[in-house]
Amino acid sequence: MSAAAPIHEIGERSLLPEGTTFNDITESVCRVTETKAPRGWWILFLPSLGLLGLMVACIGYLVTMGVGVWGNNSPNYWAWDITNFVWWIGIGHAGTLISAILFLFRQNWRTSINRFAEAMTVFAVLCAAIFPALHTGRPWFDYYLFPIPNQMAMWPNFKSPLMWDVFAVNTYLTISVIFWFVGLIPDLATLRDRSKSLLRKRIYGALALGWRGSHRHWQHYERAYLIFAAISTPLVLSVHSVVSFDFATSVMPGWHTTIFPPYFVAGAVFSGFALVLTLMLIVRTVFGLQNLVTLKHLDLMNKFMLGTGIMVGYAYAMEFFIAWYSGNPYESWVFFHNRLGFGYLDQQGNWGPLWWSYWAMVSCNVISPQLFWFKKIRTSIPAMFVITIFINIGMWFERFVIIVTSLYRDFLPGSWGSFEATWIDICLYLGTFGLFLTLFLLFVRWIPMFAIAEIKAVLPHAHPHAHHDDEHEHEPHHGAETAPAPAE
Amino acid sequence: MADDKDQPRKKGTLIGVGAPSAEEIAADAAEKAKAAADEASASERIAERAAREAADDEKHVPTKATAKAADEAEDAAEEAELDASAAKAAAEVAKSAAKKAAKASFEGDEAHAKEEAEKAVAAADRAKKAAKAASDAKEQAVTAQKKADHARMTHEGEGDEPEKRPALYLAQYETPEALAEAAKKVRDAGYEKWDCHTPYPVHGLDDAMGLKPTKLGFVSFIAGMTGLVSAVLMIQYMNNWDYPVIIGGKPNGIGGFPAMVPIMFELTILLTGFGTLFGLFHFTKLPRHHHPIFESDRFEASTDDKFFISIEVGDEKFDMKKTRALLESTHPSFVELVEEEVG
Repeated sequence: MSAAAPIHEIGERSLLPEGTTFNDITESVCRVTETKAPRGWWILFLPSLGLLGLMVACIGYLVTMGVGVWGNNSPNYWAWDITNFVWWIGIGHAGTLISAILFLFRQNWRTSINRFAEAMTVFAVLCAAIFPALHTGRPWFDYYLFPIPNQMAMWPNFKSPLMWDVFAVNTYLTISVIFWFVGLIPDLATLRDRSKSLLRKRIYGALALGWRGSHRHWQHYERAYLIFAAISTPLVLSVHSVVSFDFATSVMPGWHTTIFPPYFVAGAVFSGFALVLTLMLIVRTVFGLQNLVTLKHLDLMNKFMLGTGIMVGYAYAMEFFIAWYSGNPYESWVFFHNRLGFGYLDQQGNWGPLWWSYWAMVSCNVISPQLFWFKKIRTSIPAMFVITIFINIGMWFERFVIIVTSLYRDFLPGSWGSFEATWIDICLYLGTFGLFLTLFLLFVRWIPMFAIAEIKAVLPHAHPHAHHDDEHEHEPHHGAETAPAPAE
Repeated sequence: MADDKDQPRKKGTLIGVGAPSAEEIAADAAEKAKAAADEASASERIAERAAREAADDEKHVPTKATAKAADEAEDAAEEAELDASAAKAAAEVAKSAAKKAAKASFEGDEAHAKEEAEKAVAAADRAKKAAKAASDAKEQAVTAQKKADHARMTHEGEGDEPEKRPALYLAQYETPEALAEAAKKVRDAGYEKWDCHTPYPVHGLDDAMGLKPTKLGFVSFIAGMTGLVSAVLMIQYMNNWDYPVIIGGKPNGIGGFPAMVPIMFELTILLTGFGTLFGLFHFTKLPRHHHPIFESDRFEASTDDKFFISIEVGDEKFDMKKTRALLESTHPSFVELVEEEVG
């Protein structure tokens, strides 16, 4: 209600340019799906399709040859596969955070980015699911993961964190899809009502389920939305916590840490925001949507990244502190030799050979977002584009560091090894970008990528009461430049 | 007709030679009138039969289209009957005029005979016209009966305009304020089957419409608890009773509770989600792809920037005039009667 009206006394401005009408929003969002794709879209789409083909080829090769074509070895039983899984799942978390948690906190600015981020969640979780499904080695037996009766008359072990993962990730995917779709219904109805051709009308009409904007429906709908937000909030916190249990419940030094669940969740939100922003900057430019995603939105997202970046930095520091404070030599070894490199040297006087991955992580994740302290950087599009890419790289390295640098030199020097990625590791990872981007580009092209109804609802003149509030607020200084938006 | 009148005048005096006498003219007219009357009654019979058949069609397939055709056929048959009786009456007149003309001619009153002959001719004309009308009515009846046949066979109103009946009144408003004010009036007028249609959820409309709070939360809660309980039962059945799995010496029953928590939690969330989705569908009666409100072209703006109130015909208080007057008193930019197709 009045939350939609900016408080001018403390320097707040409307989220969208003053005087934006309902129709402006409908037009600018729907136009994307109704006009021919701009050239920029094709420039992105064709390579994405190529990468998708690469993914399919890699999966075919992997399934034919076996997981030995990956660089995984003894002692690195997990490597890029689980790194990529955790990374992609983390990417998805920003979407749920924006759509659910910011909704509960009444952060109205989320309306310009939530649809977009939710779509990313769904696609990112799909990409993530590929890796654990393949790393079982015989993906055609993956149905063992689910509690279905099978020929061995055995059930899954529900005490295993990996089993929790199966439930967490599948629940997350299902709920994200439902939440996303429910949010889409009114906007699909908008597209249906604007459709000129019968085919479009039929398709959007079928998907809109016969939505007619009835307030008797909105009443239930809003409650449903609230419930989805309320269940997604603990869900998103649980998913990455459960992912972190995969590590934290083991006895590996570097993994066996109680800080993991919050640390993973913060990292997930951090990386998710970064990828949302990277893609948002591109799409905003390609489709000319600067009026819907304003610098104010970008500024707020950058602040989020600064905040979560500091949380992640704190977790890195705390891990070191605990490694030293616990007095556990194996723990210290992992942190000071395997990761930091120079803290402990091995018998030949060498640094931990993968020290560079740790430093890549720290510089990308902790140092680069510090630039967001400056408003100039937070509102500079090229600067934030570069920083978000750094963060994405850094967050990938974080997972690589956690997994590989814990495993490659652990308790017994006799079982030490090293890790080198193979070309199929690299191609499969790149290929999942193909899947993600192809789905994503199809989404921006055919589905309203902004929550039309929700953006309308946060315009200053959207609600009868907001209008009255406006009048009160402006009484002391009427005639100010920032007059209340015109009632339509 | 002018010829018929003129001829006896010119040549009437020459009896039996070439030109017909008034008596002959009258007799001829009476004959023609009788023929017309016969034809008319034949039309009448055909029209009546057609009407009967159409009514039969309607009885077998009681759709709007057959009902309409049967009505048409019946009307046409009635008309044919009227025309036929008019033709008969005219024929009677012509017959008696012809008799009088013959009598006058016999008595040598040529002038009177002529007068009667003229009457007979005029009556014959009327009879012919009536017969023509009867024949037209017959044609109509037959066409209507064919329609009824066709409708019976296709079970629907063919080619012609689809049947429509009023479904709801739709009033359009430009601002949410105007909508909320209007909603209060409609609520206070005591309507039940009415609704507001908005591009986004407008706050304060719940009160303006007098809606009760939604019960969706109960459904979600029950679904969630079902998820929680089924997680416990599933894990206990699979890992404790059916095939006990002992890992690391950890207990399976209540002692192993912490290990059950993540899956209990996830299934609670999962089923709450499904419960909310299907609860939403239940309360909103969606998906429903057909609704008479979509007949209105203006309604397309309801997902863009216009606000609407609809009052359905099914409401007890609905009245074509009063409801319209109520809506017009709320300052809408349009009031429209939306009709839905039937049959």
